[in-house]
Amino acid sequence: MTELTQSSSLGASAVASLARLSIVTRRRAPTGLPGRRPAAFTGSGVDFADFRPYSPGDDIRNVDWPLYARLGKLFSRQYHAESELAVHILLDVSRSMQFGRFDKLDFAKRLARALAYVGLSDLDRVGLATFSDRLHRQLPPRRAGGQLARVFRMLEESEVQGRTDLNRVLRDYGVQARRPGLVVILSDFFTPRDCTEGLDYLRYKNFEVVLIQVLAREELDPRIEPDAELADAEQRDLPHLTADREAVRRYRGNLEAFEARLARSCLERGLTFVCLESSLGFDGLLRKLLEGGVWERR
Amino acid sequence: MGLLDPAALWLLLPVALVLALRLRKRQKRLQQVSFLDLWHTGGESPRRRLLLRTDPLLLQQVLFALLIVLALAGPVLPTAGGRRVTFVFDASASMTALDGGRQRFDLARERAVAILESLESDDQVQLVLAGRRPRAMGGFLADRQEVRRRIMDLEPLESEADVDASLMIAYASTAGRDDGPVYLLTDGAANAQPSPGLRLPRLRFEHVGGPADNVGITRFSARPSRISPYDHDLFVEVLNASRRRRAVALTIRAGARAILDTTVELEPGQRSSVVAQGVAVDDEVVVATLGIEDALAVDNEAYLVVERSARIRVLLVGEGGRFLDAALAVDPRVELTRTSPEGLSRALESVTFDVVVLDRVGSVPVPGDRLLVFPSGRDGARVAALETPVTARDHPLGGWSSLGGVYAGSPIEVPLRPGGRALLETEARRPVIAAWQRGTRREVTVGLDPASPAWGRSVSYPVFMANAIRWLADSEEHSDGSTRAGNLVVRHLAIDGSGSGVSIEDPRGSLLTATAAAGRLTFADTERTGIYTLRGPGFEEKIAVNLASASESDLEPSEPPSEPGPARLAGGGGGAPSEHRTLSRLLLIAALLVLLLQWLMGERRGDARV
Repeated sequence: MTELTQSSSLGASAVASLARLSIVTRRRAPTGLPGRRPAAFTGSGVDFADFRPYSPGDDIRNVDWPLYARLGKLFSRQYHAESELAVHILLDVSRSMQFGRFDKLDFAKRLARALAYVGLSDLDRVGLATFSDRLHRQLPPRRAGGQLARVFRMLEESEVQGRTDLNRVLRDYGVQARRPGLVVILSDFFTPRDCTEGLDYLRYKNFEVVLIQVLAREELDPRIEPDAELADAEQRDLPHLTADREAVRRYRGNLEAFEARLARSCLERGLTFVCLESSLGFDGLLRKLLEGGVWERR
Repeated sequence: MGLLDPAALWLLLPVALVLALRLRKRQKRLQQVSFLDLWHTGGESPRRRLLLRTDPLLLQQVLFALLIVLALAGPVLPTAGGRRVTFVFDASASMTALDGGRQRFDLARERAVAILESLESDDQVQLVLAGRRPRAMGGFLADRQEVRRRIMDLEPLESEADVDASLMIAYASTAGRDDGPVYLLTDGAANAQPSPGLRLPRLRFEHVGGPADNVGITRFSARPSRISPYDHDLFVEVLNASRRRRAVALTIRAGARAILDTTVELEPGQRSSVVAQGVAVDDEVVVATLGIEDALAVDNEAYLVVERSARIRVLLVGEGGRFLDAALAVDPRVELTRTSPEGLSRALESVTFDVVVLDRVGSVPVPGDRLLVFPSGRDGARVAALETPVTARDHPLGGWSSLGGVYAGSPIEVPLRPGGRALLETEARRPVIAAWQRGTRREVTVGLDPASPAWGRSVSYPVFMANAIRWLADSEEHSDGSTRAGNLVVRHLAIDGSGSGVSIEDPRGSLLTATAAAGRLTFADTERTGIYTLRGPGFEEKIAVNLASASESDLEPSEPPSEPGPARLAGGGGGAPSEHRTLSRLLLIAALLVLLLQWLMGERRGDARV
């Protein structure tokens, strides 16, 4: 097992690996301080964007002189501006996340650390919010020094609580967030109602959304004692259920259908969806997120 | 549907306890999952699945226990509709008392008919006659005409009533059907009340009659006179159960001969005894009569059959001695004849002896069937002296005298014949005195020395000898000359074999037939007062039956219990009537099937594991 899953901070080798990564965004940043992300507007970048007729006051350095030689008119070259990206990490701390021999919440916290590190090292603004049935604590996206430490501290202090209500949380977050950007949701997405309503709202608010589902091995391959009574980790008022011989087979079918439904929802909305197992090692994690298009090598 | 033994339902408590423990154990196997929705099948209640699908073994065990408990509770199904109503008629002698010129029993009949008319048409009715021996007069009937006819056929008796037993019969008959009332039609005399400890639901008291003046004979008996062995003393006890002072003429007659004619003066509630001493009666019927006309007639006359104080012819074979002679002479009826072993056959030729005493003469063949034997020293082994002997006090010979510690010699161990009783034993359980009886034959063997001064001078010696002679002469039966109405009468008759027919003529002249087995006649139809005559091959015997009950003569009604509680009958009302169809057997079969199913499933599970 690597440092990612063994410690609350990132090890030297993990830092070295993560420093070469950049969080993938499919949209251009609308506005903000200069950064490394292509902005939606033109400016003082290095990537050529377009020509436009020269106007008095334009920077004389942007005049395309070869074009003037051919056409006899003055044109100014325009470049894509480079802006920063606001990365919003939403961490599910509901009771169902504390599950499995390799705790899902621990894994999600380490993943959040990695994402925060990658984002901040790529000059993005990184924020963090924890939630279950409502938003608990929020750290607005910043790029200032010390943000990584604040993120790490907040992750350390996060405790499991409540049950999951993703639609409400995503809607609330969409309302409160001042700067649109990339929302990375770390959760098991085990919620009685599907979360499409919340996802649609975030999209409406011009957020780009990445869903990273964290599941424990015990959830993917459950071992149930004969005639055991099953209790829901979150909804304790639910009547217990007694597993019979067919229960595991039926559960696998249900889980498969649930995953397929979630993936289809993301596909239909153009969202990134990755499912990770909480026992995954650091190398596997790097590979999975690279394959899933969550981050990329710079 | 009802239950014969609802108390068995208490067994459900341990079943519930086991179930609770089992469920508690199940709860310990609680397993948490992150998202229970993925385990649902949709549309089904999880709780129901928990009980019905997940643990068939537990369900089978619970079902098995329930079936067993229900079977023990004895559920019964009635085959006909309607309530089951029982009329218990107090048929005791006090119900023959007159109230306003009419018998109380007639009033009870009228009351019963009136109640009968008020019942629903599908109600079924049973009649129980409460006499000394209660009897159910047939089963439950819905036919009103037939029930009315049966009520009119009922007759009061002249004995006491066992109300408790009658109610037991009534409740046992309705066991499992607790919807119908039980009517007790009674005059409320003191002994016509159910015992306070008996809790009876649905019991309705229907009182007939009221307070009435009565004077009655409550005891009449004869005892051999102390003065003359051939005379008797007659005892009459009279009770004034009225509320005023009464002077009543009392007459005692033997046939046409007047024995006593006197007037008894009695305060209210007073009992007075009148004794006629030294009366010479010879196998006669003696009648005591009160010269009074009161509410109850049956206790104004009492009867007695006084047997002749017959001589007991005793043949002493052997030397005898001072102590033995004196002891045999204690009973004045004993007529002693002496002989030697050699002269025995000659002595028996001329006279029939009631008892033959063999005094240390060894083994001598004796044709008589009543023997008192003192074996000689050669007839048995000597045993250690009796320090703390064991005495059978429940035997007629053992109950009157103590033989412990009075004999210092070496007694002889006597043989104990099959069917015999050891009346006196050593500490090592070796018999010293034994009594044997079979049919009319009786024999007492005494291993103590009858000539020993140590025993001969003790008080127990003559007492024991007198008892032995009386028991052997069979003179202890009906010594007081009468029995109470309703009592069982047992007679040892001098007839051979079994199955000999004996006719019994009751006081009304009706003939009853009884069968004597092994010389023993038993009959219980003695619920009429008067003289019963037993006739058989070569004999005739009279038996006097009297009411002789102060509680029946006292016609003052007592208050009924105010709050009858729920029924709790001994035996759980095991005598369910045939009209009920019990489901116990069916339930037991079902329980066995469940057990079989459980075994089969266990086998299947075992195969699956393999």
